[in-house]
Amino acid sequence: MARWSSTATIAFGLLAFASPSWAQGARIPADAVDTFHAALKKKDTAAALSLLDRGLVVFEFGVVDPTVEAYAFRHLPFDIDVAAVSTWSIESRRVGGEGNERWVLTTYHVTGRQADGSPIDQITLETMILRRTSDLFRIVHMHWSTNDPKFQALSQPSASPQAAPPPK
Amino acid sequence: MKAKRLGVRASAGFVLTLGCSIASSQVLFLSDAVPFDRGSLARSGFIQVGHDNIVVDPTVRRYTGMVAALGSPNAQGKMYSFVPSPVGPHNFPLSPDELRGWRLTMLSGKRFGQVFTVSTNTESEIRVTADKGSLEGLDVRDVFIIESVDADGVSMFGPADGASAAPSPGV
Repeated sequence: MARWSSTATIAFGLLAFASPSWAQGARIPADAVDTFHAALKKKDTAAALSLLDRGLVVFEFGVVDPTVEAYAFRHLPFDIDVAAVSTWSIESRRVGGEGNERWVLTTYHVTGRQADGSPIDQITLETMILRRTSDLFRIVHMHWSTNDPKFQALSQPSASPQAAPPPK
Repeated sequence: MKAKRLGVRASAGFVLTLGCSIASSQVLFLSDAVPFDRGSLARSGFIQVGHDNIVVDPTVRRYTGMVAALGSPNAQGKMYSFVPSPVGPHNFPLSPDELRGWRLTMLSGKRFGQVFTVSTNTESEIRVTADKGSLEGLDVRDVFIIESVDADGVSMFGPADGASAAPSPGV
């Protein structure tokens, strides 16, 4: 009993002092996705970064963050702000892949309040591709889109003048 | 995901501003380590910056920048300070100790993802506390974000109910 207690104490101590900036990842792909969202909600920048592969590329609503540094620098702060004031409820999830490359497809019902008090109520679609290194999965690609018709109307005209069909 | 208070015009302005900032400061976000075809990306017509449809207020104050110069090591040879250069969408002229207690997270370089706490700052220098280690490995042109979040992860900005706070630098 004493031995178990000592072990538990040490383990708890390690967890208590573990910096989220240390390499994290997750052993289960879906856990990496959920932990990433939890880190955003907690405004824990380093924890969120620890779930991202250094080769990350983000597609979001027709635009690109081509590197993890670009995403972290100009996009992650906004994602943290949104996560802080909204609730993301999983509506469906499919997982697949094999070996060191896996995918997690999730639809969320996102609710909350915008800055002007208007409600947030939309479906957000999320594709996550994860890569395993050193036994831990990290996100190497994210792609989000939404069914919000207002955003579709806003974003598509602005993108269309220079947009060519994406390479197949 | 989500956020953004920027309309199309604001987004375009942001893209231009950030682009100029990055270009002028020679920050290389397109890492050579990333096997990404930059040419096809440009030809695809995708905009390389953008956000989504939800408009929210910032939940913390932020200061983003780049390491312009490394600080001098102390008597033990450890470095705890650097000279920042403001880069990106969240920066403002620094006042002495304005960032005291804020959380600094490195966003590129060898210390990517490492967290420090600002102990003090001047208009031209940022110093971190020693409890999270020294800044060895930091390099000129590394980028970082400093957020008004204390060592316990608690926001030091804005009312707890999430209502809008008065405008202030870094927001």
